Amino acid sequence: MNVNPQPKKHRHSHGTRPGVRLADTTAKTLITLGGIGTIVAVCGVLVFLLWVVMPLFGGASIDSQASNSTGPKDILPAYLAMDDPQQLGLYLTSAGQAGLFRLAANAPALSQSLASAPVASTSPATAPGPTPTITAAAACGQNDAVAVGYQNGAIRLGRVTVVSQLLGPDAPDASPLEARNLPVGQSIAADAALWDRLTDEKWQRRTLKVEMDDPLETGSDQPVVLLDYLQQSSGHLVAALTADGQVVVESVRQQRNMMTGKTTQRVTRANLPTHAHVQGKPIFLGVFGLGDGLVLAWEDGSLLRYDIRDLQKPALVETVDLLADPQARLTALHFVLGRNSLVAGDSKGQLSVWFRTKPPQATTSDGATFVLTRTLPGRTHAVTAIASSYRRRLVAVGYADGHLDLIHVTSGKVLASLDVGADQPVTALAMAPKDDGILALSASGWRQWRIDVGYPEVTFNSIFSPVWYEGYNQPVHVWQSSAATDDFEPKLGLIPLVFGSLKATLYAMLIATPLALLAAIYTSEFLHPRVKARVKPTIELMASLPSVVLGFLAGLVIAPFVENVIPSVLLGLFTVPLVFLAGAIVWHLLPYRLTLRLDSQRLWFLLLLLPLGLVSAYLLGPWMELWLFAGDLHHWLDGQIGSPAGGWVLLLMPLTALLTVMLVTRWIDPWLREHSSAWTRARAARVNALRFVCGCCLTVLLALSGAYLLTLLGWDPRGPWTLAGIDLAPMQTYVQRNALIVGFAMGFAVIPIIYTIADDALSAVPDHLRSASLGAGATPWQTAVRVIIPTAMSGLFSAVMVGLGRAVGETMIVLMAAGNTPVLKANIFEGFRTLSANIATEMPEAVRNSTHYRTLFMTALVLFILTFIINTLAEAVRLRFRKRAFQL
Amino acid sequence: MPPSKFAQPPPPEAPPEAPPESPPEATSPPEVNSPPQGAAAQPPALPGGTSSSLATSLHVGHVVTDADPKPPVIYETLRHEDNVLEIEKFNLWYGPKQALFDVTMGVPRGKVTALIGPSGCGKSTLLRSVNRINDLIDHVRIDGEMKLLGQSIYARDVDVIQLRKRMGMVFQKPNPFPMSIFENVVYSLRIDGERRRGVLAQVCEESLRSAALWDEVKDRLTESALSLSGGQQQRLCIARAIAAEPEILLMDEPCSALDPIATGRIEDLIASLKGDYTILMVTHNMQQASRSSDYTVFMYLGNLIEYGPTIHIFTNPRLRQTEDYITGRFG
Repeated sequence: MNVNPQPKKHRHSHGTRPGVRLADTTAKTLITLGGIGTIVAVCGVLVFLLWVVMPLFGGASIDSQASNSTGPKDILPAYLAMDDPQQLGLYLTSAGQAGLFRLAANAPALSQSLASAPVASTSPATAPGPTPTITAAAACGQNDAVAVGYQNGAIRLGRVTVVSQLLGPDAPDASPLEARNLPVGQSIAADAALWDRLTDEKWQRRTLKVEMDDPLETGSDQPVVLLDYLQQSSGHLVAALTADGQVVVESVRQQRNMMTGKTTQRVTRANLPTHAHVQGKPIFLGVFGLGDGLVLAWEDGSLLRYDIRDLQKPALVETVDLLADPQARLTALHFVLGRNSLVAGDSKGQLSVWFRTKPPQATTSDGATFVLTRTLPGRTHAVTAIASSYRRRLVAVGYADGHLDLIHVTSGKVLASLDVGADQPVTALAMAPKDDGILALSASGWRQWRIDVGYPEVTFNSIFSPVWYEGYNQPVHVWQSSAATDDFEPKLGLIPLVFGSLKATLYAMLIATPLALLAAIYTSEFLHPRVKARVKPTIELMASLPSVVLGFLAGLVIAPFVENVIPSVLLGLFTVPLVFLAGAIVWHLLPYRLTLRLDSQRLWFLLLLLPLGLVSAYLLGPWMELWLFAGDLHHWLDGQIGSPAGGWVLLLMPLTALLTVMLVTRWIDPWLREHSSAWTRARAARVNALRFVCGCCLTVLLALSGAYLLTLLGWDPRGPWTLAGIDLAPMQTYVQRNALIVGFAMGFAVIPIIYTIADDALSAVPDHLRSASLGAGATPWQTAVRVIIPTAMSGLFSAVMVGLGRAVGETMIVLMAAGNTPVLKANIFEGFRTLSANIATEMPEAVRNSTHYRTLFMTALVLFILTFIINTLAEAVRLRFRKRAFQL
Repeated sequence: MPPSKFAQPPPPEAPPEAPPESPPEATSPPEVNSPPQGAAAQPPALPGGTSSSLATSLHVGHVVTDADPKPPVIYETLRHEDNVLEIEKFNLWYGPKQALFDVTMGVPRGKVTALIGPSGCGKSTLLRSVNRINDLIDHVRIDGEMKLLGQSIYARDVDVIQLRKRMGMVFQKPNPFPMSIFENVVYSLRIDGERRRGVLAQVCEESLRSAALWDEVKDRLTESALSLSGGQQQRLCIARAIAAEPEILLMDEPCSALDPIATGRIEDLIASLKGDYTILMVTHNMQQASRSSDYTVFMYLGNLIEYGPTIHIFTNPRLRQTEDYITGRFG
């Protein structure tokens, strides 16, 4: 001890060793790389989403165009078509010719050489003598069927087909010499056929095959002015307007006998009266897609709509004026795909969309009204031609100044504005069968564009604002991306999905936040550290439970169970907290010495209370159902039985409980404080119990009186309370997989996250604050509420926000337990579809790079932005809280 | 009071792992009034756990060579004081380690009593036992009796919350709550449910005036208490403690985290509080004890060694051990 050894002298180098330097540099580089990498990865996700989504908002792109100044003459504008590879134009002339012309800019000679065939009957015996002039024609959608009306009042149905043959070097000798000597890549018209030499040894020969059926009798010898032809699976329907104002409808129904295989035809014919309306030039005659109605429109904008469901008793349903501007004349009217919506164009260049709706207050005989649902962006010159696409609700609109717009009818998006040229009116338009080309005819010849229409269904408005879809009574938010039929109108409104995500989050957070925060306060401030050391990891273990398991349990176990005991479940939301409060009151009533002795075992008494609350809810549930919901909650929710008051009682109870607490603390507590100082503990406890019982009674009384008051006012919690398309009624028809179930299941998934962060935040509050508060004589509860929680507020807030972020993005639970119906209803007993579940459900079925596919990416982008906004707000608020609690 | 969890580290004065200089003989039966000197009594049977320190101590040399077992020296003058707090044969264990040995003393009314002694001597433990803040620490056991105005502190049916309301406590580090200055001062009234604005404002002003802080903060009572300087914060904590009109004010090294100027102001404040308040103060600072206290208790290794008027303890201590400590020969 007393030996004081000389300190040994170390030779100390003052430089830094290379190893240390290397480690330092390496660490710095790795950390920099990692940090930048993370930021780049997050930005990369955003950029990728944007990259996929951006094309949605673009227009059509034009790949190439061709034109020729000499086009077919005297054609019937109602019949112009293009073939699939967009090499040929197909037309009918009023002289009774069907014609083909080659769509190539550098082959002017061919356009005159028509591969024409006389419109001849398949049965020469009945063929009319000299071919009369065709005055009207109608094509029937995408197939080859055609109807023509003649000067003499006859109508004939038929098929005009392009027959294509590939010929090798051993082509029949019948081939004309010109074709054989044709240079490779050239084409000529010869011998009633169109020849293309594809290679040295390969020719393509295309002829026009025309088959016409026997004429139909219209009962009139007046020229057919307008004609429409509708083919259905069970037959066809032809409607014609003759020059003397007769509308003739002929319906042929083919019925095949299942036993004998024999087909019988039932022909019905009807004449519709138009007498009062024959003013000016008739513009349009059309039969609706289901064959249940017919419209007839005149130049002055008046439109007659007939009900032809029963051809024996056709009826004029209504007369509508299509023109808002009395100066304008109706110049074009055309069906959109599906033959339900009409696009009307007038002499002022205005475009409007009309279809039948069935409003509840309709006064017409068939319950429908024909209404203007949208105006499309037009121009200042008269509309001269409209053609509709065969696969989308897309129309090409030609104007008198030679311009041409490609417009999507539902979204109102103008995909392309094209110029036919030479300021000549567009006389006829055709769209390619695959929407990848437009053919326009004018006095200055024809012009053809090969285009890519892009994503016509989507605009920012069609995604986020209500859209008036065909058949709906008003503009709505709808998500319905696919259906069974081809003429289906995709409804890509994201609002129902955003609403679903928010609804799931709301109900999950309503259940998770109070439980998780109270649990965190309890374990950090009241629970013995040794018990906490076991409890906390157990709760954190809940987080590791795969959400698919939770979703599975919720959807297949909890949902059917809850459906059976729903009154008890609702009651449990009240009885469980009440039993805990009652437990505290009873504890206070126990003799003081006993409570001190039992204090260390208090947790076990608390654990006993939970089953007590659940059992009492289970037992009392049927009684509550009998008292409030006329004995059957499901029927009550359907609105079939009972008074609205029952639901109001449940809804108002939390509010009146809060109100009672406020009243008691405001008026009763100060009086108690003044007088209780002299009381014994037992007396104070008895008064306390009395206060609790009275408070409960007051809560119920207030809820009852409020419920009856609201019922008297005529308000019903079962709604409907529609605001901006959202039904805000809180209780409606019970669906097995609903928001309550998701609230429980997702609450269970979110609780551990909120709990862990909140508990860490509370435990991080410096102990000297606890000591100071306790040292000042505060109870642990006062310490927690007045000092610990305000100090840890930023942490608690971020705990809730992290939980919120998880709930917004959670997929599997909502996918399995929410029913996935994209409805806009706040009803807690009904399901929803969230953004995330929508991506999970539909992405596997979406065609790559289709509108649907990119819209799903849009969904992901919206989700990304939603969580980004939530997290940014959360961070901003958290920093505010943190600023308040700095310096700790 | 539920079993509390606070993972508060034992105070710095908690005994070291194995107090090397702990001679078992140092534990002697204390008596309130000084018995004839040299009348050594048999050490009482110690609770289990001290045998290890006994075993270790045999191999370690004594730093204080004359630390022979001696009864505590308590000066006669203290017998005539009116004691607010009586401590009788108080023992305390942190788990197996005993931190206080049969401490017996009184805290006189209206006086400042300073507890001095080297680190780990148990003075903070003793202070924190008075308002049962030590209850919060796991594995604490006590034996003996403390009485505040004749009423037991450690009896089974004592409401700890009520008890703490009668004592104020000021901690080593200033620990204002993260709320406004006003709310800090009236905290003890708030937790009693006082809502009358007038009463609160009056108490706030009186307490801040008593704590010599009023003039500095009267214009910014609504500002965060955390915006004050360290010394101001500590005076705020004192104001918060005296707002509850405590029967005894416990101060645990109130100046250890402060600079000399702030320390001076706190000392002036303590001097001005003297008479109105009974103060029991732990301090490491000899000068502070000598300047601001009326009585000084010297503690060593969990034992009360000498307790008397400050002037006597500092100028003419009766025990060599005390003198060594005060003159800085050890400690």
